[in-house]
Amino acid sequence: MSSTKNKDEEVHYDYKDAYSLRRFISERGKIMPRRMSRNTAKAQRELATAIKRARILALLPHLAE
Amino acid sequence: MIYNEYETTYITVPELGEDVQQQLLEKVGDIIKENDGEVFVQDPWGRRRLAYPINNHNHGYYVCLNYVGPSTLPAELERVMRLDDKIIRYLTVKLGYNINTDNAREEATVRHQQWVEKREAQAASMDRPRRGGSR
Repeated sequence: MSSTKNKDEEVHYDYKDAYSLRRFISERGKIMPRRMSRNTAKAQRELATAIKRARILALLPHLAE
Repeated sequence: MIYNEYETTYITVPELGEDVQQQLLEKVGDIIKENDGEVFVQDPWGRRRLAYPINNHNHGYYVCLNYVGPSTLPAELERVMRLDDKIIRYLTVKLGYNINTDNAREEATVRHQQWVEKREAQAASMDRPRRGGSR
């Protein structure tokens, strides 16, 4: 997985892919802020939606501990 | 008539037999067909651990369906799933509005293929021991 993001390249987040989304939640289960995820505003909205959907399906926790 | 593309994932209680699981899948498929819809992809993920307990269950059996249908279809499908106590959770997502069925069918198959490959690669990497201290 590349750590640098190309601004021109669109990233897509899939709510089914809990394995990839795990990188973007904290130990408490919170969604990582943009300053840490280095996402564009658009990508961050998509990420947040994906994580929230994954939470509904119990793929990710609403909160941990 | 406008046809939209949807994706519904449902979670059943884990201790159902193979045949009951199959019956349920057929029942859901029939509802889609009866309501002028078409199933593109049926993807049973199988048994997984839930990130938090639902109705005192720690595990669930996941099934994901990709289909097209009129906008009245998801409502009917969710109504049936709500009444079925074998289903403990469901989520429907709209993937496309007023789509061309033939194009969408093709795209759905490709998309599903890619997702399955990605998923298998992830499963393989999880079995390998981690190198170094990276998380």
